[in-house]
Amino acid sequence: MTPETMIRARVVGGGFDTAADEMSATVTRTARSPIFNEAHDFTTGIFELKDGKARLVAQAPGCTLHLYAICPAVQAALDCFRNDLHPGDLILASDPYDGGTHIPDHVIIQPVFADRKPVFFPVVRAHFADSGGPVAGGYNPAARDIWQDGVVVPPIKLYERGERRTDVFDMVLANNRVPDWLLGDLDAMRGACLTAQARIERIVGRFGIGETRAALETNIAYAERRVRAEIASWPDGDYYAETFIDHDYQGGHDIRVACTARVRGSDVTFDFTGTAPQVNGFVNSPIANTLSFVFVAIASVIDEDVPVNEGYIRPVTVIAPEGTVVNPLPPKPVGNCTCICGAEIAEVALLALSQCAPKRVGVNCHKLPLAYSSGRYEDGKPWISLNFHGYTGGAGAAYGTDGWGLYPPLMTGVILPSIEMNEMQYPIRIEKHEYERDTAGAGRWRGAPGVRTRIRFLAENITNAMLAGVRHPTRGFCGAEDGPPNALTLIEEAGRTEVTEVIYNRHLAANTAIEFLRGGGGGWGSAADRPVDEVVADVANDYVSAGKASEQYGVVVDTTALEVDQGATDQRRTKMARSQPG
Amino acid sequence: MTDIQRQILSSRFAAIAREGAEIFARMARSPAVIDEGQYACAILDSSGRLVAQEQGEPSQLAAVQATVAWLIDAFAFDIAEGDMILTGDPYCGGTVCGALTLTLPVAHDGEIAYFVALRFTCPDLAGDVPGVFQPDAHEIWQEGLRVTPVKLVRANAPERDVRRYILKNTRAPEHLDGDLSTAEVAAHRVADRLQAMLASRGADPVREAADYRIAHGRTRMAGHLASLAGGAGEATAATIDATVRVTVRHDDDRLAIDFSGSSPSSETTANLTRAATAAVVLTQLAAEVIEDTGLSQGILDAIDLALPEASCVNAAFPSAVSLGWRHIAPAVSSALARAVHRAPAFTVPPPLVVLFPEIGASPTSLPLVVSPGFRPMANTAGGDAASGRRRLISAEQTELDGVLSLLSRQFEGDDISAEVAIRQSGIEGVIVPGAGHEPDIVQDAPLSRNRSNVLAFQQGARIRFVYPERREERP
Repeated sequence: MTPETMIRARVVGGGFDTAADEMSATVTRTARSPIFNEAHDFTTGIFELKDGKARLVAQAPGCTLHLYAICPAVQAALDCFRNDLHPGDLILASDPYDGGTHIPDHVIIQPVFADRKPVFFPVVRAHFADSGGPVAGGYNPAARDIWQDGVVVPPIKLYERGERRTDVFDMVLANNRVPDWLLGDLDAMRGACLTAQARIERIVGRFGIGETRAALETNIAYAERRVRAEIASWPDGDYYAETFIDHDYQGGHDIRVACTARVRGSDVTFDFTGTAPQVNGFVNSPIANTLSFVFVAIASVIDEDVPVNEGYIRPVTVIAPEGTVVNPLPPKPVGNCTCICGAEIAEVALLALSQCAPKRVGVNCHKLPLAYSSGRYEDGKPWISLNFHGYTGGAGAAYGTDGWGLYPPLMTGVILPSIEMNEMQYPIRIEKHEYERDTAGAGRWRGAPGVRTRIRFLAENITNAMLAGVRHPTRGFCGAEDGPPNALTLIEEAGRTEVTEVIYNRHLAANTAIEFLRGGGGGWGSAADRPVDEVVADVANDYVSAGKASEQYGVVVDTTALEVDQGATDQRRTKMARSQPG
Repeated sequence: MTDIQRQILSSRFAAIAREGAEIFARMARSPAVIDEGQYACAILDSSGRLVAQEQGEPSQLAAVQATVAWLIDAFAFDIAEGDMILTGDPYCGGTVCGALTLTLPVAHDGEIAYFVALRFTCPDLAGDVPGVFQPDAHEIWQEGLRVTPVKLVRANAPERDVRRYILKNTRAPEHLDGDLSTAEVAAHRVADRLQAMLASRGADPVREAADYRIAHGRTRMAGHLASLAGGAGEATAATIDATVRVTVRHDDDRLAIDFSGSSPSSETTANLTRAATAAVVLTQLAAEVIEDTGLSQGILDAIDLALPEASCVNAAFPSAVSLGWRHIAPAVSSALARAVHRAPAFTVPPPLVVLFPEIGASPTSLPLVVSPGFRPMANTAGGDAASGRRRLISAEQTELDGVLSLLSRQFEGDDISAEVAIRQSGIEGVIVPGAGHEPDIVQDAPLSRNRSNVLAFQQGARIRFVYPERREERP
């Protein structure tokens, strides 16, 4: 490869990356729902049609759990309209059993033509505030089939040859509780695709379609080389791990998710054989979601400067037996899959990789205490709130760093909306949102502390709340402790109710509050190896109590002077070392 | 054109509508159509005026015209020959989710001259519980897919993605697909008949006959309405806390019916849409005229309805509506009956259970609507007016699919009782509220509930239905 080729590849690739970034900015600045413009729960990317297959060529940083899920969704849409695509078409899709994940995550796809053929496809994948169905917001813990999750949207054209199909558009809006938001959001998504189209056409106009595609191939090959190099650095072998889903909200408990990471040279296969059969509740993960969460795990062990494109995906194979919780058959419900069992899929993949690439794994976290509330503003218009602040916290540690930040790293580009904006947009007050002492998984590097959040509703509403990560909280790696469990409490005038699994369609009066305890992240490595001064700093910062410093880390701290009792500490740590296996 | 020629062509409209309905009913796959008569076939003129309609049961009476009028407004000048439009939304002229209307424009000399509409209830259109009855719903999205007017065929080209969208949102895709295809066939047959009539008779005579038919309905209706007393009536729903108040007053040759004072929209499913209330009114006050002359715009226009917004007789969006026909329609009928001093056409609806395979257990499922009897009444046969062409299912057919055994069906004094046993495991169901006498269920284990009214039946469980004798109510 000549330097000129390499430079051109980067220029073209950079152009596509920038177009994807610009799509993202367009959605943020023009969308109407807070989930888009505040929380950024969407991802943008550009695909290329090659040999009848859609392949990812550029993706903007967005919601990481959309990472791979876009790919099968685009393929499904192209399969539906293989000989029926025109410039100006715009396709909407969200079908969990045909390339989708859970129903709220819809994709918008627009073909961009070059040489009279559809070649590129700007795509936006985004979480709609509502998707019809029995429960506002799309998380129905009582769901036992896909129709109880919401309205399934197989690929359907919203625009044809640049003309809006008003009847189709109206039908899509009619099956949504917040059509005003959705209308603005769909326009924003289309605007993003049109922006990308203009950028793509400029690039193709400058370099020609042949050179452009060759440059993209170079970028894909580069990403593949980088990922393969990383995998090749791991010792060949079969690495088995398992974890468990607490419950499926339909009476099923301790549902096994098993994974063998099979490393052979520069290829890795994640084999989920041994995973529990599909369940009745809405924690099943359709195959696109399973693939996506495997790539969430992969992304966390690959250098962040590797471009996310088809090359990223090529060295990885996923085996997910049909009829299991990681590849269910229709019509099993899947509404919660982007939380549970997505969390467990990423977790078990990381646990498997921790055996061959221990210094690469970390930041495990996604077992959320989830609560959805909906009601009506004083003018009668509906609101739907994800209660985003309740999910915050819980990041696991990684080699070389404690768990950090407030928001789950898996969500990456998803931004925690400001409390002020949330209180303006919804009839709520966020009375508490703070780290909780002694809620981080201990380790050489500890998890981020848990966060306690109390949200008080100023207006009556209907709330569904789903607890996860209690019996099987977020796991630590390489000898570290797991994160503590999550908790959910309903605070009504009549008293406090601890949620054990779920509250379903509960009518809450004004002035009711819901309190989330998001357990902290799991640690990495043995807690006994954590330097004493770092434990003291944690005590000083009130992340860890003196009692837990002694119990978990073997560091005895005088809390008044914040000084270490070195003798007692040596004694305690020696005792801890003796009790450790091996 | 002579009066006799006009009459012949007028009757021709009725015959064509009847033929369309028969074709559909004989070829349809869904039990709601075959056993319950939940279908209608109508011919409307280019303005959406109803020329002729044949229906299997009364809930369809006003909805076809209201739906077609709605879609004409929705598409305005974007309807052409070769289009086929599907509508199924309680808030677009309809009654309940799952009641679909397929509309086909018929053009003559390049202009739309008529519309053919086929309306039918499909077995399932998503929603919280299999089937069209949604006992737990409190808003429309919980009841099923809202099919606002959408083209299934545009300029003779099928809109495959739209059809796919509809069929993805039903638990019984094969039945719905079959019924849609059947409706297309029936609508095209009606369109062909109309085209043949237009070709052989010419557009003007045919239009004249349509006008005559509407005017005739109006005349007959005026004479009939004059025989009705005016007055006020009130009735309370038998099964929920809702009151229907009505005032009936003559206004020249029309009847003004005012429902002011009726209860507000319920937060349950017990609400009627405007078209559903109109159907009850027509059944109660005009059944004999409709039976005699056939439904037309002349009959529809003879009654002015004043329905308070956001009331139980004119549900406020997005209220749920799937059980309004069972809860509120009898009260509307009773209140009207009292106002005009006639016997109510509707009585408390029959006990009803909907059975289906365990939710989520199979990729498709056909809900089974079970009510193996009817309320008897001295000197009459069959159910009340609200039952329409609903037929009593034979024991053999009841047992045909292997889910049920019909253990007994007999008179007990003046009442009828029936008992069925569930022969399969993995059967769930809902008792559809609204009957005065809900079915009794006998099984060893408790009926488990999954955060809803859905019941889990054991193999061998028995369901006993009682149908008390109807007693004629006279004010």
